[in-house]
Amino acid sequence: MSRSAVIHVIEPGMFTTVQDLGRPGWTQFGVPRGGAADALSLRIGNRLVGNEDGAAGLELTLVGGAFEFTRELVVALTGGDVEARVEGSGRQRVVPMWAAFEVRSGERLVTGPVRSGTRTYVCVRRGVQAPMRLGSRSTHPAASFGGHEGRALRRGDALEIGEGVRSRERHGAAAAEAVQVSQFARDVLARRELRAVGGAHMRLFEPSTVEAFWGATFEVSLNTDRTGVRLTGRIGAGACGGRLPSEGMMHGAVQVPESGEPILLGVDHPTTGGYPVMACVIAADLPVVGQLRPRDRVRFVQVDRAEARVLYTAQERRLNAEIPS
Amino acid sequence: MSSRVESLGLDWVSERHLRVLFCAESPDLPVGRLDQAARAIRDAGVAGLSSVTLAWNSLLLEFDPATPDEDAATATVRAVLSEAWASSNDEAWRAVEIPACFEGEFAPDVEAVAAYHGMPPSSLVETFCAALFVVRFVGFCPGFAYLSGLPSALETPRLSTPRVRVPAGSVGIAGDQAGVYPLATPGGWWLIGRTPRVMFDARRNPPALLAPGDRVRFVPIRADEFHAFQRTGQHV
Repeated sequence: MSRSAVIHVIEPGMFTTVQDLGRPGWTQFGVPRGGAADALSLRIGNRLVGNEDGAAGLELTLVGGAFEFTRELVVALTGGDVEARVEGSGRQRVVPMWAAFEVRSGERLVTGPVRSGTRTYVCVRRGVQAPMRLGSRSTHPAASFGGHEGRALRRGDALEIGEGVRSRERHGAAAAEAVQVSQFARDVLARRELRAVGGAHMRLFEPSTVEAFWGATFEVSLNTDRTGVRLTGRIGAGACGGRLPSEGMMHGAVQVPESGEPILLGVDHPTTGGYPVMACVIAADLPVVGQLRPRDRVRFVQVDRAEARVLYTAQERRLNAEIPS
Repeated sequence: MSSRVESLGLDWVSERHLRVLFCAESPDLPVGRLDQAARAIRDAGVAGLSSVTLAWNSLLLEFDPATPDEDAATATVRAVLSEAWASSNDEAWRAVEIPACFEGEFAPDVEAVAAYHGMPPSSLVETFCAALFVVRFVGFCPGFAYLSGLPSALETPRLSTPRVRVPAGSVGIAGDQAGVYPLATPGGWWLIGRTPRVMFDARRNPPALLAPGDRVRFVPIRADEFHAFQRTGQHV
């Protein structure tokens, strides 16, 4: 156990990884950007504890965890909704989401299961420390690199904290601000009508298939991870035979393979692929992709590219107004 | 092979992605030139550009979603690519030898593939190792190099049922392609050998062993040589 370890993993949850904002610019080596599946929640968590946006935090998946701190620390929980408490020597208190709170040395943060959405972020002041790999501390679990030893956390793991501090933390007097940002973030993450632009190969599909796609309600299947989200509710395969020479792929692409059941690509998506792309979720709604939960029902709503940029810029402006970086 | 580019097709395929299709007489443009074009774009300092993904005959450029002016970005990219293409060549390339064991546990499908083509396994390995492969691009997962140049005598339809887990280093063939699995993943290719070389390591720069344009030859090794290579990290 490291001498300077600050966060001790008592219960890791089902799949908890160290994530920051990922590693853009390595796709020519087959490496996707990765990073927090819901980057908006990680950024808000970092701002709440006074970190720069790109500091690393912990990404919990569906099941809660327990973490013990061996020094005083400012912590925030964001993303999918959990019940959480801090347990210390003889005292126990409920802690809120979307607000910074202090923990003392020896106290434990215990969270329940994720009740809405899929991923909850634990952000700590100064950020979670992990070696930089290809410009990021993010875990790429499928390729076993980055984060903590390239893998999901296990019971007994010990993590250090980093140097990601940027400004004062926001708690106490800034509580009102937290309420505001929580409403904004919850509204974004509750979207299940995902705005999307027509994809690179939309015109290769039969017009009736295209129409069926934009009119359909899909269900999120159990086959859902950081790589992608499989949707059920088939719309019929495309006229292009369902397979093309591989092209670059992107986070948010909605591929339609031969089966006619779409695959929505996540942050750890394959960098190239040969299934035709019907649509691409706009940047403003990408955080939602990381929060889709099995059995959620989703629709895609078509917008044009100019609108998509306006929606993204407006959402960023709103974020910065609610909680400046 | 013609290397003339008939046209550059530039399309915004989302509010943050510009796709470049190199439309040419030949379906296989010289990969060295495509790679030089991709590098030129990466090095040009185009505003808001975060990544450039090369595939068969295309590039996918990712921009900051707030990038306001499509026309200006398109014009800049077209100018950089046109100039880069004009000055590119396919003359310099790197030769890479990949030692691989084509026997026993390392080659679970070598007999089935040989039987499919009606040849003894030794001829299959001989034909495979005589071929000079070209790395077209690295994609799908970290470090996976798409190799063209599989001899037509070895073209084999992909497995009807993909394996749940393919060991890292497995040398696979499917259709007219060949590749080496850098990581243990599910896979639908026939496994005819395995290399002890590490195809992807995030601590290296570049992290992937193979790069677009590399000429690759497989060198057969015995099982004991495979284990020795794994111990020492080099071919003895």
